[in-house]
Amino acid sequence: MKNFLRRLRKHSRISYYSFWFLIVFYFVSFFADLLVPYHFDEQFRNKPYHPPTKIHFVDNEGKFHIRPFVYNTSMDDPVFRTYREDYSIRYPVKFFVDGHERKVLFVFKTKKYLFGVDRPAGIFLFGTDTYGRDIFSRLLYGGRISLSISMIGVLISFVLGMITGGFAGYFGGITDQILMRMVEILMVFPSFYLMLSLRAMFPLNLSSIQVYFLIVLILSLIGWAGLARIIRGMVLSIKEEDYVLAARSLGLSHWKILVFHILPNTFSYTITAITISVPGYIIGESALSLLGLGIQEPYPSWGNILSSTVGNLKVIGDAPWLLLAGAFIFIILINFNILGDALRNVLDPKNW
Amino acid sequence: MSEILRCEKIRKVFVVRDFLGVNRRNVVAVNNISIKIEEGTNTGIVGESGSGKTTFAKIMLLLIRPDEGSVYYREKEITRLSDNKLRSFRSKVRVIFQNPYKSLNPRATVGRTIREAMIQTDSRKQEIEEILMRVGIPKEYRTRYPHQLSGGERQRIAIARALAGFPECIVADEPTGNLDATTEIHILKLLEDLKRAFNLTYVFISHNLKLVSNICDNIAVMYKGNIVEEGSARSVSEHPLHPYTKALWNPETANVSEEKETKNYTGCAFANRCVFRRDICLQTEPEMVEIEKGHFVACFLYE
Repeated sequence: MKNFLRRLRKHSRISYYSFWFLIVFYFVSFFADLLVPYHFDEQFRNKPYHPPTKIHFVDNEGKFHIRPFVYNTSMDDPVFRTYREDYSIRYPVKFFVDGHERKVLFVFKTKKYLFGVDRPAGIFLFGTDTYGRDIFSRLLYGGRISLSISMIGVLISFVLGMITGGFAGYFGGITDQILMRMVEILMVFPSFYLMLSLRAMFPLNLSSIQVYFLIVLILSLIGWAGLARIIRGMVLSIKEEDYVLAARSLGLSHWKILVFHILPNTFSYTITAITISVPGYIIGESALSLLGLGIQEPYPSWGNILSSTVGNLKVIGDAPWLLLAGAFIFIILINFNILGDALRNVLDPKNW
Repeated sequence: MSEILRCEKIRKVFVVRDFLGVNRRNVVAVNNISIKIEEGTNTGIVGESGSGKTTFAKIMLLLIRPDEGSVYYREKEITRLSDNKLRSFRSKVRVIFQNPYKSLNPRATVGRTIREAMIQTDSRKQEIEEILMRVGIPKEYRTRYPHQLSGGERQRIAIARALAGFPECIVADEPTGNLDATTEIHILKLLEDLKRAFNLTYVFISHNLKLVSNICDNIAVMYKGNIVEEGSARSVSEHPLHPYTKALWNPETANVSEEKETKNYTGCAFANRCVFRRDICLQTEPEMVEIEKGHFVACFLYE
């Protein structure tokens, strides 16, 4: 691992930073409970489409305060949803505040969060949505769902692709024919419509957990085919290598040859392919949620946060902070692409 | 002296198709070869590139199955046995490949490569290190990867791998083909030492007749999938009979023409390059005839 980081750093600085950025981001979203000021379904009914809260150091009398503070706001114009700050009381931003009990990673109970302000004021770093829910909190919670779906999905399709591609390439003949025809059948369908029709096979009124696993399953079912084909091709060429022949001459079983000699030598490609395909899963999840077929309210995902802006052009003008989910997707995507590109070189033993 | 390996009338034809699979061409890689490997001897198989010697080596090891003919291991036919049933044969007859840059798995450490080659899979660190010492590799190399080693070191690892199952016979396919001259001497010396220590039988496959005649007891000369001359190393090197052997022995002075067009006659495979060609050479294939005791040649010059 240490070696890996050193090589990654040597390869390019930017990919090294991408790697750490992604790690930090994953941690942040998995520990969202500890960090965000509000739970994802906590509503401020009187503050819909609230713009990002201003954080002040200087009050309206010109006095400077070391501790940052916010003012409470009230709706000025219900049509255009403009807010006015009430300068009478300062609400300082508090760190490690107490609040409602939350479960971190569904296990540890906690009452302390990183920061917050006293009610009735609210601290909305990225504004609120139509129900007055804090977008910042929802984005971090949503990242937990979107990122874990992509991670699990990619792992499942990786395993499926390795098994099918490995078997097809190594044994060839009729095994190859059957497996590859299966893959081709899967590949002839445009993936987006396949995704929709797979989702349509299941009822709409599933529980959130069920939907979550359904989406993971659908995404990985679509994703493995391409991987399997490429792995098959690589296995076909690797199995002609001398070291595979040498392994056969030692009398090793097919299983050992495939698992220890052939498949590991596809890793420099497959890990790269995985890294580059992660964004596809995030987008796939977003697309399903965007159409209302994915993660359902009140659970947040980047897709369904974004979907609240669809068909509502006015929102884009009046509450552009709702589009930040798209920015998050974009940032994660670009980091995965940079990292994947670097991994191609870094994981090749010839470059060690 | 008992025999370890015997091949009888081995024939292997590869079918080459063009892109669309319309035109097929048969390439006869090995055409009717019989050979006997006696325990404790070194046998050399010599021929220029493309003569089918590597294919023949793979057939001897049953990495490729022959189209016709049989392979016997200690008088038992094993040609059609499944890979599972060949396991004991595989631990007794091992191989060293020509190119040490290709024959080691780039993702396996030296230790893993050797552990895998041992018969009992739970072999301990100590035994691996012992084998490494035997081939002159420091035991710290156990955790290294092939790309961290030089060509000579890699070939030593390949030898250690062959040695790990305590084989009876090692088939070495140009073991020094990719190494420089000084490394070559060290590797050959190592192989010789190991032969004495472990009572090994070697089959050397090489294009270098001089080298092979120095280290082998018997030599078979291959041309285009046929054995054209066979005999003890001494008699083959002291008085080579076949024009092709003479050419291999002394490439500078041999008046053998470059290979011309593909063979379109029925006779001796070498006839289109041979300066001693007669009419009969183009019509019938020569049989192996014994000229001296144990020295055979397939050429009409000696009939």
